[in-house]
Amino acid sequence: MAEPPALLRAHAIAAGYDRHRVINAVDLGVRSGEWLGLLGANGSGKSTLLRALTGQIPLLEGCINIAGIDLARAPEQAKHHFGAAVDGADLPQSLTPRQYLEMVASIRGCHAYAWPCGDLIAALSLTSWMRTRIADCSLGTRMKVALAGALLGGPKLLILDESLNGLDPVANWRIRHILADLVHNRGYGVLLSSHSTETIALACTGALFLDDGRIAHRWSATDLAQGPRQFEASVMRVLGETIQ
Amino acid sequence: MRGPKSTHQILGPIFRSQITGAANIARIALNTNPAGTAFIILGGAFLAAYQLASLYVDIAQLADPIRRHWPRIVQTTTVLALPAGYAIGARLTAQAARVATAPWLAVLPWSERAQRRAISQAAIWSCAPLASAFLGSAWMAGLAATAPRPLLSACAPTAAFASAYAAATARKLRSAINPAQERPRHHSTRGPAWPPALLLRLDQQRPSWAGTWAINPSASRPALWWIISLLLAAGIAACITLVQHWPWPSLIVGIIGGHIAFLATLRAAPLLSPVLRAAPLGFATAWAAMLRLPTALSLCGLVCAAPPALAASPTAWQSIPGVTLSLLLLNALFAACLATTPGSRRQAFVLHTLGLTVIIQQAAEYGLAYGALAAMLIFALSAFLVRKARRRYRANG
Repeated sequence: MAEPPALLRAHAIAAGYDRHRVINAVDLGVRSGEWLGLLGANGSGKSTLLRALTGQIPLLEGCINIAGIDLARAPEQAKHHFGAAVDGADLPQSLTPRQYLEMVASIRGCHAYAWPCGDLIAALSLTSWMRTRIADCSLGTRMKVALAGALLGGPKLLILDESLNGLDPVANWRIRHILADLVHNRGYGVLLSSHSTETIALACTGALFLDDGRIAHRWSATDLAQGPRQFEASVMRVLGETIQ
Repeated sequence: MRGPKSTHQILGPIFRSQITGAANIARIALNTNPAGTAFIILGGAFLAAYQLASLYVDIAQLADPIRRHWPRIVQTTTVLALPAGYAIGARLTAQAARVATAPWLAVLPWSERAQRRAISQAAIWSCAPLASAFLGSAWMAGLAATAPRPLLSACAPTAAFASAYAAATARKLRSAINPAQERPRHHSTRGPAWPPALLLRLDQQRPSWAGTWAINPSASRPALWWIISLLLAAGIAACITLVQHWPWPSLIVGIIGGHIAFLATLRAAPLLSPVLRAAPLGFATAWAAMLRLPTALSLCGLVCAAPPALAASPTAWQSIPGVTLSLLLLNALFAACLATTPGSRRQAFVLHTLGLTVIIQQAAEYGLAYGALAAMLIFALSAFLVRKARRRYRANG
């Protein structure tokens, strides 16, 4: 049976700020139907890795392919193939969620409500917030807006930087089920960084542990299938080993 | 309980924040090797020394007329020192108050009196070098022109500057800490009301709302005193234009007003936002979209100034294309400065002011052709720096 197509392939990448390397020799890939979790201690380089993968900081080494397109050579074409949920603080605070979504849609060349999973505004209970400035929205509401923006236009790869943090339990459950449906039934791929071992154990089909800018451990779907408690114990073991 | 042991403890964070801010700007600006940094610092110092010497010689050459009009020059400088001192005092005190009332300090158990004393000390420490520089410059100008009693003459504008600074500090101190005067946080349940809905229609082309975002309605909503000052200036200029049958006062106020509108509205342009950098959107497209609405607002200022000019002199329409082009060039200069330093609008303002000063100085001293040449050189430098900014924006491009 042929392997599903690679939505993201990062080969031996190194990136950082100025000349300081924060991540080094990182290899990772996300295929259609995969949901990859990214774990790591604070300052381990998760956000830097995601910034490099979304083309926000330059690579010092290696290459990144998005749906077969080299991100360095054709950044605009490559960026059409992923949706990134930015941090709530990075959203345009002076716009309303409606205006933000219209802006993203106009850049992606799609309708402002073109989600691959039905009406996300209603699903995430965002209706009453659509005409409020983002600056006046709560942390959870901003995260919902960022997720709605990432899914607009239905890019096959979703890159989420701690995007499930701050969501209320119902919204968290709904968005996990929406994403799971997209991944398992529609061939989407997700890369999610999170500190929640439970979320990763329940949702992901694979996970990576980043330590000091390098991949220190990988978990397969079989490892994660053992359940949140086993996975948490495994993470603690890896964390202990890396500290030693 | 006073909280922090003494008020001087607050001066530390205030000055550190100022120095760190300046150092960060310099670090970004001088992002080059040590030889390049030395070249920029030494070259800058040389240029500054050259300009000062040139100014000294110019004043010495004009010594006779300056001596004749010396009392009037001192009076005018004293009058101009008042708004300058007030504006600078208000700005620096507000900055000190922002640090002193920052959330991490506000939760500490220290008295309002101690807070007030700390802010006023910081304001005094900031005022002292400025007033000394002001006094020194005025004294040197008097010496260069061999004016009578140069030091005594320099004291009057310096005193005016310091008094206005103190008045601004006292006013800001009251509003910075007094909770009774603190405005409640604006909680909008509607979309942005500024800029006006009519102009927002211009902002719905791809990418939508980029201009509204660049304008940042909450930051750029014009203060009442700004509106009153501009209306007053426009009114006075319109009266002079109509009485004298001379279109230029209105047109010049139109250019200045339009340019101020552009500066005020474009200062929040978020070119480095991850929303744009992670989106399939090029640097030029993003920047052009950010410029659309501020340019429209800026041209509105000029449109308001045109009717009195045309009423005063029907031939004024011939000047309007040139005036519009001048306004667009001024705006383009600031847009280029901001594009070179998208992370720091303060640095962009400094670059823009320096560029304008050089252009005006060259045009005034050597003629319009030299002014235009200086403008072209500045645009060429900006274009080079914009390339660097574009690389930072695209990261991978």
